[in-house]
Amino acid sequence: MNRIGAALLAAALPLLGGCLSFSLEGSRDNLPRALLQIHKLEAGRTTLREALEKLGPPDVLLRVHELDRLYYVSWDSLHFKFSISAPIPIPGRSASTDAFILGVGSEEFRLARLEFDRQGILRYIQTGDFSSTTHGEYFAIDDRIVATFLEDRARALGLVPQDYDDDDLDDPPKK
Amino acid sequence: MRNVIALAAALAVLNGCYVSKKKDDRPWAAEIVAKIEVGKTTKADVLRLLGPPKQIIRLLESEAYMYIAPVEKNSGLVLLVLNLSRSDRQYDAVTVIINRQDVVTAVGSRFSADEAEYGPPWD
Repeated sequence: MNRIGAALLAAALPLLGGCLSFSLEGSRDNLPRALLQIHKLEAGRTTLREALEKLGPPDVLLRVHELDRLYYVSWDSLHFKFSISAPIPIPGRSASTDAFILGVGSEEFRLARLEFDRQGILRYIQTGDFSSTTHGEYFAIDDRIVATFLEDRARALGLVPQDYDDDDLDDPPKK
Repeated sequence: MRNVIALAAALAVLNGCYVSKKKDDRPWAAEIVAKIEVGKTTKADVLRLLGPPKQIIRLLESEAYMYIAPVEKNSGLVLLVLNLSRSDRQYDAVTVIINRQDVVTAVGSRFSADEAEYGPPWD
């Protein structure tokens, strides 16, 4: 009986291949090497030149108000998903629906933000390790650094209009 | 007969196996970047050595030339209902800061694109 069950299961697996799925996805973006050198910097003393020599090129660089802002980031994640898809019987059309059953994962985001004044002197350092929930919400003591980073990255990539003076960064939009 | 079965089984498993590599731009040799000297090298020298940057960013008193060449390695295995995949992206990058007199005031480089790896998702 066990043999018959095993044979049936083995036969059913290929048939379920298209609609039943377990997936494990890992992703890594950048190594945290630069972030490990942050302790060598000193606010009020370190220059932009020294920072670039010690940490290497930043991942994001932009001008914000009266400061030049640099970001160093690294990302590491692992996600497990179990899902079932089922065909929808619509005559003359090919359609299916995804019934998402389970998704768990971990994400680690390391980030450092450095700000330099007009003279090229480091004025501000902020670092942090951030983890995310399975719902994609970051939890940390202060997650504003992540929100600001995402906004700055979009500006640096030109995904949102860039205003070099950045006067409106913290102000509500003018009507 | 056993060998044929083993071969057929291996082929069935490897049927859903893939590796891919995406590489952007041309990486710059470390020796070329080492020729850039703070206080001496000019904007024209930088353009001659490294070519046009991927991005130019205006800063308070200078501008930054960003050279970035990512390498992304993807690997995966699809076993009937089990999918394993991994993506690893690393970068070769150079940032050169040039002042209003067109002289380099700072430079930073990183060559870690070769450290992108294929492997299991949990690596």
